[in-house]
Amino acid sequence: MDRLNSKHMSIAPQQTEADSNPLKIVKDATCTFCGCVCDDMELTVEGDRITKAKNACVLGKAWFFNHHIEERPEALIEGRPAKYEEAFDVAAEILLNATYPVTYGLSDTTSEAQRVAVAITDWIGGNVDTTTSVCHGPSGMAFQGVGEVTCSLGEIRHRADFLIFWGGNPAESHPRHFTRYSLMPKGEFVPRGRKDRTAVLIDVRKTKSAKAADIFLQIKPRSDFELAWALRGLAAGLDVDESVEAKTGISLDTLKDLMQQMKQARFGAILFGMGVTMTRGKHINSEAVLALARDMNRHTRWVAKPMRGHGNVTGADNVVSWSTGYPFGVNLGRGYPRFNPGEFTTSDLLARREADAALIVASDPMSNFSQPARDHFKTIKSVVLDPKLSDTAKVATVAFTTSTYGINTAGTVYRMDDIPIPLRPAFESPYKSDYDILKAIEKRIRDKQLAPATG
Amino acid sequence: MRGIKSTPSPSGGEGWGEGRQAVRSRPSCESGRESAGTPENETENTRSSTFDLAETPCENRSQFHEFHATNRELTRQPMPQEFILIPGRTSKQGTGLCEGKEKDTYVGEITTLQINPDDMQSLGVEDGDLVRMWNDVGDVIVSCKSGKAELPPGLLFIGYGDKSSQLMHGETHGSGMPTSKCLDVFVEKHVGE
Repeated sequence: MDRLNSKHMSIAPQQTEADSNPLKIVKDATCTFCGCVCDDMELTVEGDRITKAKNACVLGKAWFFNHHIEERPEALIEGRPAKYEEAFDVAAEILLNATYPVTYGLSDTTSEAQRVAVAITDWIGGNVDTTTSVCHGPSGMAFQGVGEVTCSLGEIRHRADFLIFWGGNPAESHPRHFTRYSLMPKGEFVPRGRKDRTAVLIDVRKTKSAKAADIFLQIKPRSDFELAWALRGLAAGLDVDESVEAKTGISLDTLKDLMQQMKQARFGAILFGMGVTMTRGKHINSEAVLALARDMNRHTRWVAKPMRGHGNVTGADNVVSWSTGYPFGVNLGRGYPRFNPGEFTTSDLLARREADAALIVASDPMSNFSQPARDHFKTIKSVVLDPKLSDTAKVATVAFTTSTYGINTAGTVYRMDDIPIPLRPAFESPYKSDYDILKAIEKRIRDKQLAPATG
Repeated sequence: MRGIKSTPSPSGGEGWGEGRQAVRSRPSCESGRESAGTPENETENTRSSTFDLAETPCENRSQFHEFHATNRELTRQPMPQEFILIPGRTSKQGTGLCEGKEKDTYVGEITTLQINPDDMQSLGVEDGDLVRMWNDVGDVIVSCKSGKAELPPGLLFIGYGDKSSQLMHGETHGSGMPTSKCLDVFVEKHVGE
């Protein structure tokens, strides 16, 4: 896997005479803060810091400027500084001795590392789950239920003349989505860019994204399903009762007008976020939105795309899918994959106190999980891989300091539309990559499993 | 659109002359759901925690009014109100988590509750005041600020993180996803440290 750290990526070094502070420009670097995965970054690197990030949004700049090399031990074993070799041994023992382990996270690492994490979980007969389960996992379930009418972001850029942003705030969560992919850019079939597009925002709050929209529909909380279902009824030419207004806060006349406009679009796109998946209904909401997009194809071309939050959470979906047949929440304990959200998903495994060990890669469940899940996580043995001393790493049995993907480490990530994109690292790190650490742990696990039985 | 607003039943009710006022001390926020002397028929949602009554010998109306006349600060606080909480991402939360989750940018974002201006008036709070927010899962103290035109009445917003996680139940309804938005919570002005 030398290519992972090869220098053949498009780095245009402009070495200064002083070796102590080399300056280089990295063109076409990839930002992995959010699912936009913008690959047009131009990074100015001075030594072991990125000092400029041309084309990066506010989130991308924060990502690049704050992932410099920190003085930290290679690993912590129960809070004690340790070297990698010792930590590999302890980590492997924890995972081998676990009865019901869970591997979780994977959304901020390379797909090459994700594959190894899945392999480890397979060897130890555990559960493999990703941050998808607390993000667009419900949408993943909905894909299986009703299907996904999909396209690339490039098609949206070049074709979409009607956009519905549903349950999201791209202005703050995906700042360049408007400008690079959806609302603003001129496209082959939308030559005037914004002027050729109509944008609708559906949300419970009038966020900053509302200022960018032509139509803002302030929906009542917990009524996304009913709104989508009402629109489905209108798309099918059915009579929809006026009581929809009492439930959703949107009048029937407004919905009829919206549907009329949707039918007249040449290419429409529903881009939906956590407001759909995290509230009452969850996967049922996602099903309703996806079914609406599917139904609209009786009239004209419509797609529905989930707005993904992390740089390589889509990669995790892909890797786990092609490895196991399912995208997340997979149990491998019987020697074959079983998929059951609610049973094998990490939030449940922890909240019900079922998992007795965890391998956490590139995520921070202690910051974001439910309180019952966090309470249990503190009590079990865990192996955590993170470039920073996250809240999860602070309570880990073994916490590895890793290099940062996309900044120090090459590899492959998937944009939110399932397009694979290579990473072009800016500078090297003294810390090992997730891939190298997981391979070392895997080797120790396999050596033990394949060792001849004694006695 | 109005959110759900219901005030918990205050303690006591009728029958001032029938004995001591029920002792009801404010539950400690640090210890979660402790309460002393809670009547059997009182539920979590109707439990009153506004009036920080100490043991008061209110055996009749006269004594009750005398007590309240000398403790006006405590007894004039608005009642807790029920809201729907939306935890979510913000730009500052995103930049803050890169800078470090222990630093001010991130911490400030996940500990500041945005409230509709009319609701703030109803709660008797201003920008920067501390509020107590709780539900059947957890109990947190956060600062507040006006949500201005973003939030309709009855709706709250906070950058998602530790505080909102403390209010999230573990139930995922068979989806793997705990309910992370539209959480039912009570809010009141926090008096004290």
